[in-house]
Amino acid sequence: MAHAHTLIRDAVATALTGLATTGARVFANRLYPLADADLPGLRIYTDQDAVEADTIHTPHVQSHALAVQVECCAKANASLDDTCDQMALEVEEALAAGLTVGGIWLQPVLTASGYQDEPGGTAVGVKRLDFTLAYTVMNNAPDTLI
Amino acid sequence: MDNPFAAIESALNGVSVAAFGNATLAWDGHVASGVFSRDYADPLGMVNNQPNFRCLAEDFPDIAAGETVSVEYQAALVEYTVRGVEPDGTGLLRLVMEAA
Repeated sequence: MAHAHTLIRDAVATALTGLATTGARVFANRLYPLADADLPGLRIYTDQDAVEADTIHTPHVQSHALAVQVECCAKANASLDDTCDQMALEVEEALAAGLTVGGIWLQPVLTASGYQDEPGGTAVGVKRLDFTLAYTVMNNAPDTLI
Repeated sequence: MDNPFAAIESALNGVSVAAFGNATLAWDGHVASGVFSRDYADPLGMVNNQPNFRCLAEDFPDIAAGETVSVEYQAALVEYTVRGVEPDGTGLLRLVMEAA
């Protein structure tokens, strides 16, 4: 099976696919710039993972707090911030009920958000939503949530 | 006493805009040639461009941010909104624009 990070990222992408503003324009770990056809769209990243060992014996139980970032990306010369806010609203609502990953229910917790925009031929804006997802695995089975 | 280089600089500006001008910009009854470019950029990870027009400052006196201009480039006429007016202090002007 895939690493828990992959499973979680995929689950977040699935949960966010089909939202009113962004539809199927959902991209996990997108490396290259989004083209016009990809916008408005969502980018999903898994980032830092704070890990603690909960038991002494080996194999031991590991508690994780994984940072997941959802970027609401839009391009417009009018109401850019409103569009990004609307996307954020839809994302927060979609994740509010939690996710089931590998048979285990996880609750994304929104910890922060931020907004950036840049001028250009058409202005671009990104509203970034920072979530934390807590999950547990055994250290010798990082692909199996418990 | 006039700076002897001022006249040379002014003449050089005119010659360079005439030689390298590739587009025509029209605004409020003023029409002049200049150098238009639409450089690729991908700020914040999104494909974009940065349209701008370099011309003689005297051709567009008092133009300001927020004005709508028309640029004829490669036989296409496109309207832009001026977002930045950047004089270089030597008689040239760079207009930073976005799609209208």
